[in-house]
Amino acid sequence: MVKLKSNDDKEFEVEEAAVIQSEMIKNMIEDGCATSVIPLPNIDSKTLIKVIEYLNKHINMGKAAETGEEDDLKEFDEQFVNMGWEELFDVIMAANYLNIHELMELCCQSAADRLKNKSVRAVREMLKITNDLTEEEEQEIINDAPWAFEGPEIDDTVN
Amino acid sequence: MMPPNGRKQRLSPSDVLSNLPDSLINDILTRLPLRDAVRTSILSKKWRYKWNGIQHLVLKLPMDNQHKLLPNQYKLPSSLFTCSQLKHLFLQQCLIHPPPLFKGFDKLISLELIEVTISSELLVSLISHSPLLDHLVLDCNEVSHHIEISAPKLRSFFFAGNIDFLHLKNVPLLSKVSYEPVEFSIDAEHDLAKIFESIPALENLCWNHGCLQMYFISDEEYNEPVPRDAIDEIPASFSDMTFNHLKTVKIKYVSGAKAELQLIKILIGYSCFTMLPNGKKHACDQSVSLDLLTSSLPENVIDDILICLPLRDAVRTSILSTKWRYKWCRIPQLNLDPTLWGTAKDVTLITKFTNIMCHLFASHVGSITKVILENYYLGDCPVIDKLIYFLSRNSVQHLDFSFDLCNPPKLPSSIFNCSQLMHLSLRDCSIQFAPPAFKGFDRLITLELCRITISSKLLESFISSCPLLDKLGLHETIHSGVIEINAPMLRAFDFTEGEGSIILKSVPRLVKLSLCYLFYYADTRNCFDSFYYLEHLDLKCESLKLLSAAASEVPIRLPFDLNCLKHLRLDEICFAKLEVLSFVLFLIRSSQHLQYLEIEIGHPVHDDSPEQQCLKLEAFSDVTFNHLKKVKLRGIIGSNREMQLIKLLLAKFSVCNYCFIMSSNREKHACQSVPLDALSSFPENIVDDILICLPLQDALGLYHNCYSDAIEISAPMLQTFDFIERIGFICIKTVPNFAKPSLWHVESHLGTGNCFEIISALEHLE
Repeated sequence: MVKLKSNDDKEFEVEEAAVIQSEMIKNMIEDGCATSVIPLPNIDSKTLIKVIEYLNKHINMGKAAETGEEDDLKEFDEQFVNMGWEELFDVIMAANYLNIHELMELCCQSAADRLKNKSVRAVREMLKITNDLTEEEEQEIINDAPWAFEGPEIDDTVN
Repeated sequence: MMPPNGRKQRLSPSDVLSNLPDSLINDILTRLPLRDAVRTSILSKKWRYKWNGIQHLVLKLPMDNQHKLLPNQYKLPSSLFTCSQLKHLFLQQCLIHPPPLFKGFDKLISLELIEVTISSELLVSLISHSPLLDHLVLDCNEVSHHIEISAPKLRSFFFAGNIDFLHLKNVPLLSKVSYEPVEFSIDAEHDLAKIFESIPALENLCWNHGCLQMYFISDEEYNEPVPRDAIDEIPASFSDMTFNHLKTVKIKYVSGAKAELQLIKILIGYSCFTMLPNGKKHACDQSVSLDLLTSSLPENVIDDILICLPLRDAVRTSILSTKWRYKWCRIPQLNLDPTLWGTAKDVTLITKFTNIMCHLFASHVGSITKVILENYYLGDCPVIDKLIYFLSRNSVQHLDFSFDLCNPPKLPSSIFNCSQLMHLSLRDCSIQFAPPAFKGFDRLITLELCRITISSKLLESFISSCPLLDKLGLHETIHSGVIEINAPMLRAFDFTEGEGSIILKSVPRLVKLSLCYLFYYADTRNCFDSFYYLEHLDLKCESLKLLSAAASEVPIRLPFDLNCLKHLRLDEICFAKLEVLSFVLFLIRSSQHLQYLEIEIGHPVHDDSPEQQCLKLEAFSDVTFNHLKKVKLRGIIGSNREMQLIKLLLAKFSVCNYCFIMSSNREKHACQSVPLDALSSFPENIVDDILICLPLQDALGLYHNCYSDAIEISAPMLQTFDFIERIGFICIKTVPNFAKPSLWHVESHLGTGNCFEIISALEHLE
């Protein structure tokens, strides 16, 4: 068992087999630096709970492939990334910090899927981006790569 | 006596040095004092420009004994500015005056300028033309004009001088800043924070006013408290600032001037991770919008997200805002699929494709590691050649190209320049020749060729010139004749016969082999010799003939054992042919450590042939399958031979922990009645899990079967089902068409709700 402490001082116990999916903690354990509580100053407890949920589910990735539980895992992943943008970015930051490759990939793919085929207006609204380009600049960008801005599949809805 | 070729021998040592690779010569030159390095240019023609390649340059002016500077600054020779390969440059006490055309050093990674005289324009130009600049030290008090520092890769920055003239404009990766003013006074007019307009990655800031101490230490008026209001409000102009990674800030000898306090306030306000009194961070967070969150994600995370996006969407992010304008330009993976330029055959296709490529060449910066191109309908398009050339200069590692199936183009020879390639996958094109200088892809690990037209000789040399090749796939490749495959590191090989065949000559490490012969013509005498480590074997139909060549005349057992073989998969096996059946048997027999066996039966024929001698239990008396875990038999129709094989396998299974899966074939006529009662003689407690898949079965009866634990039935067309309770559990999966079921007893441990649906559709339940 490894103890993790979030930045709001909550402690969590996680199985070592689960937690070593994090390169960072794996290295710490190998170096013998994980004997007491590991403080994680950039992760709050809400995000850490999500991450631990993921780690516990993915504890036996290799075995899942053999026993045919892949579908189950896939379903879990789909459910897992079903969260708001801010929460998603929190998890991404945590996965980046802890260096959990699979989780990183999952969340980045989810972020990309949400942005895929969205119109510029929709993306700006989703990510709350303030447009600071002048009309001339915008036109210039469009003229540079007109192919990127046309297409029937571009969708203007935000969801 | 002097040998006749004495002169030649005397010359040879100098040749030895010239023959070294350039990188080594550079290394040697780097260690030479500059004067000697430059002097090498006169050695011979070859050496004329060699020293231009040196990457380290340290110039220090000699000081006299009292550490006094020599009176005049040294003027750098203009030839220095031709060192376009320069990576590290350290200059001290000299005068930089470049030729008019000089812009900067493209490859510069670190730059240290100590007490040099340089014009501000040149300094700005030098920095902005060094796109890779990572480390910058500026200690030049003579810079008298405002300079903007824009260096996308800069990570650490040390500055000494009058900070008023500095503006850090575009430094997305800068994480370490150290500042030590030489001569400096803060007055309230200065907006210190403006210097740090936005350094999103800032981690360590060191602000050392050490030398100010003497000015302020005894000066009473500076200890006057600054009015709180003056510093309480963060000016609106700093709403763009982010310091989300800030870890340490060291400020020594705070003078307490308003500008300085404001900077401190801003640093505290905008950094999440610095240690703060409780509550403060959240108060600031509310004003931080999600946009900041996005731009506060580290660059690598934003890159990761952009990689996942289709190229069109990634490029479109350039219009979101100024910050996003060039973010897409760094993505290291490109997926060029035809939806970008149109999927229909159209004359404007090539123009559209060309425009996209030109935009890409012009905008993309940094390395591109992976490119997937699906290039239908374009045929021989000259831009593809340019694209590959562009990629070869960007040290591409992973190429995946698909071309037009109906009109396979010639592969541009520029692909042979991609010396960094690790994965190459090509479909539907022809490879004409390799340039004579081509020595092979040193780093290639996987090679996948599908429907490629290539000469046998070229293919053979191509494969043997990739020393690290680990995975090879040849699918319907058109080459004339038979080629020999020599690949010392090869572990996985997947072959589908096209026009031309192969011999596995030397593949000592092969672990996974998949062969699919359609026509089969190959000399395979020595084929199985080197398969000592083989773990996975996947054979299809005609490939079994391979074994006939390897086996002795009486096919009972292979002349060698496949001791490592764990997975055996046999596709489209026709049991009606006796010789095929016996090949299957002796393959199984030779693989004593088999764990997974999968046989798909092709062309099933009902036969009334008598029991085969080779399928009798006695024939297998010397064989045990102690490791077998899972058997899959597909396409069973219940012919005598099949049933015999099933019985044989069951009888030989000595371990209970396996799963037995059978499914009848898709052909309806062939599976009117699977005599599953033939299985009623299964020994008790042998099977843990049984899965019966009967896609088109309309009647199923299970009587007196002694399955031990659970049975799972999946049969979408099943209409009647007779079943007598002898089984612990039964799960019925996907049985929507129950019209006339006569179930006597059902116990289900599946909570899928399927069971209830079934029950509600039941008309007859006994």
